[in-house]
Amino acid sequence: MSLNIPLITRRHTRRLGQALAEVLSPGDLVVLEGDLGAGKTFLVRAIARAMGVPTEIAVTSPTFELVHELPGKVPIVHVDLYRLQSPEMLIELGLNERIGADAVVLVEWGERFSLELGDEGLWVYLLFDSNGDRLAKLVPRKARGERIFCHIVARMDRTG
Amino acid sequence: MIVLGIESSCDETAAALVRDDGTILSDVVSSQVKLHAPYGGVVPEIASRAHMTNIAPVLGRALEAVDGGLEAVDAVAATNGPGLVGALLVGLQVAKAIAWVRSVPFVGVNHLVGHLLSIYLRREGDSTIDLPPTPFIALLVSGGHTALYEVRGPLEIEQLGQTRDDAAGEAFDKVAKLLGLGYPGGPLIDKLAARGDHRAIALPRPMALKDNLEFSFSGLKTAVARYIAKNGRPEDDRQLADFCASFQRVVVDVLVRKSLAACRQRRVEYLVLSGGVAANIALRDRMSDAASRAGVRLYKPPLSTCTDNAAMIAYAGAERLKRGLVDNWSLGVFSRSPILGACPGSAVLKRYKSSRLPR
Repeated sequence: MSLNIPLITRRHTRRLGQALAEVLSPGDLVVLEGDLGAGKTFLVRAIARAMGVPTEIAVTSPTFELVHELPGKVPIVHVDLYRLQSPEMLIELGLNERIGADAVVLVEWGERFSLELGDEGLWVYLLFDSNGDRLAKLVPRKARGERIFCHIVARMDRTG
Repeated sequence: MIVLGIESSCDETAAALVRDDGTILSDVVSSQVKLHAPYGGVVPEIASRAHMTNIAPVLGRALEAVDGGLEAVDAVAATNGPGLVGALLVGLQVAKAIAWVRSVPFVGVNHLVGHLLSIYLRREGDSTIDLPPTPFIALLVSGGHTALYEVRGPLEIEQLGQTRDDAAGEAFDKVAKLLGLGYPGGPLIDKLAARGDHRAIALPRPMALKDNLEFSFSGLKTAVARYIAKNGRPEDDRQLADFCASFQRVVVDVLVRKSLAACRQRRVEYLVLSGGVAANIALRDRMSDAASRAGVRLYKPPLSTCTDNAAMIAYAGAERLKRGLVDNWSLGVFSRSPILGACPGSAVLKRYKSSRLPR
C-alpha cells in the first residue's frame, strides 16, 4: 500500500507537513528518504512549524550534529543518519528510547536502518517525477504507520 | 588562572589548558591522537562511545603540558551545547568529576561562543598578536553552523542571522559527494577551485540580494544535484576545477556580502572569521580584499583554532569565571538553542565567591 502526493510547489509540501502534524503523536516515527536536494529537511521544517516549533528556532539540517531536539507542542527529535556508518552507532544515539515513547521522531536517511529503528511508522520517499517535479510516496509500516497513513489519505481526499 | 577545557559536542573529543589571558598551554584533539593509533581513520567516529574511549588519552595528553598536571588546574570548563546530547554528556560529566575532585570551579560553555571568542587565543610567546576591539561582527561558518553575530563582549553576543537550512560546510561536503570527491569536501573543493574558472557554470546565488543577514545553501545544493543529474559529472580535471570554482565562488560571495552588510548595518568596523570553513583559502582571500575596500578591519584566526577544539572552550569558560559566573553540578546539556549570551541549560547561575577564585 502506498500513496503518491505531488509536491509541485513549496505550498504543497507545507500542506503535507500540516497534514502530518495533525496526526503525529508522541512515539511516532517518520522516515524520510530521497536524494541530496530532494526536500527532506524542508518537509521536516514544515512538520515542525505546524507542530508549534517557534520561528526563533531555526529548523536546519542535522547532518553534522546528527540529532536536533525541537520544542513543539510535543517534543520533536529531528535526526539525520547521512553520516552514520553502522547500526551500533544508532543504538548510541538513544533513538529507541524516544520512538514509541515521548517524542515524534523524524529521521532523514533512515531507510538503511529501518530494522534498527523499529520498522514501525510512516516511510516517506521524496522523488522527482518525469517532469522533474517533486513527489512524495508514502508507505505505512505496522499499526502506527497505518494510523498516520489513513489520516493523510482521508485528508488528501477532502482537500482534493 | 589555568582553565582546563573539554569539548565533545560532535565528532571531536578535545581537551586543552589555557591561561585566562588566552595563552594556549596545550590543545589536543582526538583526531591528532588517533593519527598515532594503529587503526586510526581519517573519517571521525560519530558516537558517544568514541568520546568515552578518547577522553582519557586526550585529557592525559593535554595535562602533560604543565608541571603537576591536574594539580595545576584552577577551573574546569566544558561544552554543554549545542550538539549531540549523548556526546556532550561525556565531556560534561568528566569535567564535573574533575572539578568536584579538585574542588575547583566548574562552568559550562556554549560551543558557538567558544568559536566566536577563539580569535583571542594565542600561543606562548606570541605577545604581539593583534586582537579585535569590541564590538565586532563575527562570521561563524562550519560544517554544522553558519551565522553572523555582533559580539559586544564575551557575555553579550547577539545573533544577527543564520542559515535557514544547511550550513556552508555541509554544502561543501555534499557537493563534493555529488561530484564523486572524498571527505571532507571543503579542502578538496578549495584546492580544485584554485585552478578553475568561476564563470564556467551559472549557479543560483541564494539570498544574496536579500537585505537580511540570513543564509540558505540548500537551494544551491539542489541546483548542483539537478545540474549533475542532467549533464552528468564533470568529465575531466579542467571541467571539475571549473565546477568547483563556480560553486565555491557562489558560497564565498554570499558569505562575504552578508558579513560586510552586517558591518554596515551595525556600523562596526571590525570583522572576525571563525569556524572550520574559515580555513577556506578563497574565503580568507576574498574576504580580505572586500573588507579592505569597505574600510573594515578583518581578523582571521590561525587554521589550528578554526576547527573544533577545546582551547576556545577553556578561554570562553575563563571569561565567564572572570565575571564571577559558575555553574552548579546540575548543569545539563542542550541540543539546540536560540540564546547565546546566557548559558542555556543552567537553571541557576551562581555568583562564585571571589575568595575561592584563584588569581
